[in-house]
Amino acid sequence: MRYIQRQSAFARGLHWIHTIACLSLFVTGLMLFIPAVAAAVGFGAMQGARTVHRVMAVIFIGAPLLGIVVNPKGFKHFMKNMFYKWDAKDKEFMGKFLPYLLLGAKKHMPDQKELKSGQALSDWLILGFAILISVSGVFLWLSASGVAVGSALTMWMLVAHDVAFVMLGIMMVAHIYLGAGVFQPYRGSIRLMFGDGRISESDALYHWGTWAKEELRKGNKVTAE
Amino acid sequence: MTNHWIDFKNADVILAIGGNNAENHPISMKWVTEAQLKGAKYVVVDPRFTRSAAVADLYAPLRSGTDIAFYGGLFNYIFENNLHHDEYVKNYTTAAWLVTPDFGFADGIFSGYDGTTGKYAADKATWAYQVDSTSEWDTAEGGKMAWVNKPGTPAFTTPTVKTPKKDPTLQDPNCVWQLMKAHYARYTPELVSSITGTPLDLLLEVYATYASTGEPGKSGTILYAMGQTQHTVGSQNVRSMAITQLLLGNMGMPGGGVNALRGEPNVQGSTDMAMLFHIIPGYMGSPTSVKHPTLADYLAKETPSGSYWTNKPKFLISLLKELYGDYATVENDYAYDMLPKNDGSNHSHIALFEKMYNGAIEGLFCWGQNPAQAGPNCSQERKAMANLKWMVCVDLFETETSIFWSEKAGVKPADINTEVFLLPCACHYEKQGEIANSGRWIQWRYKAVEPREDQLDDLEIVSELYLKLKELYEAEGGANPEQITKLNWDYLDDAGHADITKVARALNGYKVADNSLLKNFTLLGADGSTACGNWIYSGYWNNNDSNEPADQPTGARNDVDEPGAGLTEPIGSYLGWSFAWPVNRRIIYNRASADPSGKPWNEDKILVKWDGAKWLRNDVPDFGWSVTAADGTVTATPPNTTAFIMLPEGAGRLFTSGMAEGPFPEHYEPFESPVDNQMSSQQINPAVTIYPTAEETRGTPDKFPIAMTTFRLTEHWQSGGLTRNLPWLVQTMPKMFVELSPELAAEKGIESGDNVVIENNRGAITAYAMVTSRIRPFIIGGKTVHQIATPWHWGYAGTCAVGGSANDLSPNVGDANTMIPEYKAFLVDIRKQEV
Amino acid sequence: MAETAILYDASKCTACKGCQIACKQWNQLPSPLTADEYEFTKSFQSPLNLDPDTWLIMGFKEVPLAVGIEWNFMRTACFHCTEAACEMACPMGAISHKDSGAVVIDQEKCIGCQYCVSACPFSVPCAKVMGGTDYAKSFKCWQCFDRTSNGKDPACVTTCPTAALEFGDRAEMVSKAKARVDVLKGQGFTKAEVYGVDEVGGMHTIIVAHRGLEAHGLIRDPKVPATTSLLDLAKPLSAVGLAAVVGGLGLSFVMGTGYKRGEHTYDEKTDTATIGEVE
Repeated sequence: MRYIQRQSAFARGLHWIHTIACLSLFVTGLMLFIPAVAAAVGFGAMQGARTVHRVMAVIFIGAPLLGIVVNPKGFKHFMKNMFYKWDAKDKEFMGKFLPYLLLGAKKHMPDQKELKSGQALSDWLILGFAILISVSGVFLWLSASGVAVGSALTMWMLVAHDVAFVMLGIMMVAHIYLGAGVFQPYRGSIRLMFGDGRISESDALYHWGTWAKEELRKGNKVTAE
Repeated sequence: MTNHWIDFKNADVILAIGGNNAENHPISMKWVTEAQLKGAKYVVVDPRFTRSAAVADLYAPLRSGTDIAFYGGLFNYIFENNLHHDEYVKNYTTAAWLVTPDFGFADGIFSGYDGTTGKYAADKATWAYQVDSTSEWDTAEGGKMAWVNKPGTPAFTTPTVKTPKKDPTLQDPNCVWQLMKAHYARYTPELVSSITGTPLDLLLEVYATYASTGEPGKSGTILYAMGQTQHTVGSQNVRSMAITQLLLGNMGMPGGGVNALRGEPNVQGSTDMAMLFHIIPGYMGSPTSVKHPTLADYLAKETPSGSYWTNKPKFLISLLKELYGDYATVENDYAYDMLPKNDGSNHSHIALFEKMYNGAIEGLFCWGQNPAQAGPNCSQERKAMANLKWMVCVDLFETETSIFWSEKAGVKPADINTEVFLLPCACHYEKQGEIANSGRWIQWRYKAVEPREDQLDDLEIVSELYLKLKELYEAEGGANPEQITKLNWDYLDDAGHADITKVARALNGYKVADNSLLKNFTLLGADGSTACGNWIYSGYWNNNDSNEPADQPTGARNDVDEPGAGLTEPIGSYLGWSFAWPVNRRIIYNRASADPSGKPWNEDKILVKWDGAKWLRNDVPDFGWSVTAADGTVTATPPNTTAFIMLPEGAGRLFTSGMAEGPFPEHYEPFESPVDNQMSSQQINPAVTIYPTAEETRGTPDKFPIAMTTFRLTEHWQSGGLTRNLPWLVQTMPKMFVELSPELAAEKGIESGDNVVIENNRGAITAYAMVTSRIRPFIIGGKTVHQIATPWHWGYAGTCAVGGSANDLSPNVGDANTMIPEYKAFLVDIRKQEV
Repeated sequence: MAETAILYDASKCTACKGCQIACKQWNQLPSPLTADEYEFTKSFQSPLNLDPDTWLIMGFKEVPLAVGIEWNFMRTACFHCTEAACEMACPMGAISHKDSGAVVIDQEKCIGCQYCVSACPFSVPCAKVMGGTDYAKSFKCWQCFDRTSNGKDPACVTTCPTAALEFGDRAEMVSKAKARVDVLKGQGFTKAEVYGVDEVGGMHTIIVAHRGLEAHGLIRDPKVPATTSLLDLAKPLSAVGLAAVVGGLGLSFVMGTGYKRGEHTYDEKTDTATIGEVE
């Protein structure tokens, strides 16, 4: 069977790092968000949690930024994938997605480019909320360090941080559900980020038909097993 | 104080003038507020709008140093509107006394002035009463003054009693009343307003408010502090208050009186104990070699013909018995010769430093005092200190004085040869002893915490010093060794340390024969049978059954205000709380709180009341209210009109020969004033002494047009030696600043927060500018006069909160009677500091 | 325990700052003593603001009039609101109400997030950098709960020379304040009003402002910031959101049980794709 190299080692490494940062931030953030969690872990641990939160915040923001610097080509590719003009098929995909997801994916979806329109939409949201949570986080950090941010702005940043946190939390659950292949039709996709980054010809054609056909035609990323 | 702190609650009007009681005596406001809640009016007259002014019912600004103009206007207002307490004035004051026709006054000068010496004639002959008849003391056996002939009593010439002429109708042109009216007719409200800068309407409102207490039964109290006294006319300012209170019938009344708010514990105690050059303990005059070379001279010249002071020989002999113990006998005039005599010259603070400046003094003990920062013209005082061979400072912290030789003081240590010692002493919580408050309450305080090992309490320092001196004099002799070696010093405990309870016994007084404590000073004798360190304190430590302070009157702590027997309402006397001198009397002259028949002027404010057979008492009566026979039976004395038993007149003095600059207070401008005197061509108090160093640095308004006054803050205390070392307090008031009006600030291009330089011929200091509408320019004689004000708490000593010393600018000139320096009114200029 | 309150009557206050110092003393709050530690504030008010070691300051406000001036004082410390923004904002539950109404920070629980600092409409809580693993902690007046819970008045109250400060049953303090305002109005203080009765759910510092709220520097009709309420809203909303997502995905998972799909292949030469159907 043929496989297509979909994710580079670089992308997977970055994703690994970000996964760790994200999950740590999520857990430590949850402790602050829900006092009962903090109470359960003990208040002494909270200071440790806050340290972890800060360290991970640096990685969370720093790693992608570093990625851009180190691999500008990859970033360009990433941006090209994210922001493209949706054609009829893309729109059709989006229109059919919810019933597809909820009703067991009995019907096939229209062929998609390297990033499905739904994927792009979700990535937009993730990126947007990630920027929001990062910026508000920086403000909160400054405020807590004694920089005169101002009470009102701080409070708004706190609200933004909370909203982004909740939204990212939801996105993360969905992302794991689909990306890790908990969703039966998506089985095998976990290998893309947590394996060797390759995807089988069959799965590639199923998910990203347009892209898969093109890659198979080019053949430079195709290997046989 | 004639009255006491709690008594403020009994007032109908409270006038705070020359004092800032809310800021500098915060606890006073407990009672002022209580009075206000009952409807009393709290009136504040001050050059600055202070925290007192902020809570006052009425505030009026007044240019510093013009208080007598203010009072003169008040007297005139009272006369013009007939607002005096007529029955009180006629019965209890000297209004009816006739003064010699030689008395006169013209253009600011009273009769008897010698222009060449700058003093009034010492005999004050033209300020005397007309004498009706004379008599002698009845010293015969059974007579009132028989004690004079008791064995053991030193012989002296008893005074002649002069009965003055009176005109009860108050019509005689030479009677005090008429002289006074004539004198103060010149103080019209318009002229007073033009002198003081107080807007006319406000001035009249203050007058009307305060004069309303002239109504029988009403009482007004005057609270004052250094803003009244620290002037070249300070004593006459105080006289003015006394006259005010007599005219309005407020003296002796609950909620009345003249009340000096003492700024420093224990300044009341230190005056009581005569930490001054002109008196010895118990307010007796210091003996001088000029006037009193012998005991007989002293007794003859210092014993008045009438009043309770006729007992002065008893007080003095008892004092000598305490000072010299067994060595003092009638044969050696009770060791009177040992008592140091003043040479007749002035030895007040300014005069001492003048002598020091001129090299006449070699050594100085500076005990809990900080003249290098707090003295007038203190940069000159620092120069004076440099002429000393040695100086010993006793203090809690390093002070400006103890490091006057350092670079911090702006001098080169190598240039100064004075050897300086700093003895660390215990603070007030680290020792036991008594403190006399402004209300004359002598309250015992136990030690709260132990001092550090190297800090001794003051008594121990004195005692060790004395014992060492005695040892040296005994071993080596020297000039007049007996003055030291013969001194009685039986105040040591078994371990050789000073025992303050033994000092307390000595102050209270005891019978020499059996060492038993005296009940009070009425039992003192002039025959050597009693010893007493301070007659006015007698009775504060009179429990023979215990030596525990808590068992003594000074340690009494009954916090229930109980009415006297036969009375229903208490009046705030708290007679069971501590001991007030004299004889636990809370309000002096309390006889005057009732009319001549003994009926209280106000039945709601009873101090004493004659019920037809006896005196009902809410206070210890200040008059002969009963006679105790030898067998112990007490007979009540029916009312008479002798309400002022400490004065030979027996009546309150509206006129006096006791002052240096005249029988009536007269307005003169401060030594340095921005304007000419509008009352007369006599610019300043004609009787003041001006030393060369003061004259040399005297400023004139052409060069220094701005009037300056100084003040204190709640947050700091005196020269700041204590408070500028307490971080909590430093934080609440961290920097030396100057208050100035927005008008002056605009004129000088100064903004709040700028560093400014304030300067005159005596020095220059820097301060932060606090531009505030609480300070207003005055319109004086039609022209605008600016006044600025600074606190005087800052100095160069300490690690934190250092800043300019206001007294680098104040003049070393003082009042004509007391020599208290004129800290409160002088001239400066102000400018923004160049960066 | 009944609700208690401090009554501050500005008309009786002389601004002696005894309360400011008593607070420092009882709570053992340090003031650094080094040269030039403190700024000149151009005012008698010093420091100008509360800080972690200064839980009470005496405020001074000069109001120049056409003739003369008013100098108005205000004891500035935690008001102990019933609707306490700090309590709402605290993520740790470290800030709580005592039965007396006192709002108290549990320093053990405080993690120094300083949300209370930002949330309080009166800028009362202040954070202090602690060093070590404790980033910071928030501090403020706790109405001397250690004293009041042992039957003693708060330290500031005990030191007040003029009884401008009282402490007692809240209802009694409120009625005293109202009665006092009536008296003051009769004396010509027409703008006199009581502060703290209904504000932010009722404060546990009741104030008599004899010259009106603004003249004393008080905030009229203070509000818990909208952001604080939004934060409070975030939790239930996020729960709903999460529930919806989990529910939806759960449904999706169940529906997808047994999903099987035939192979997809592609022949790039012929450009033909073979689609494997779902079984």
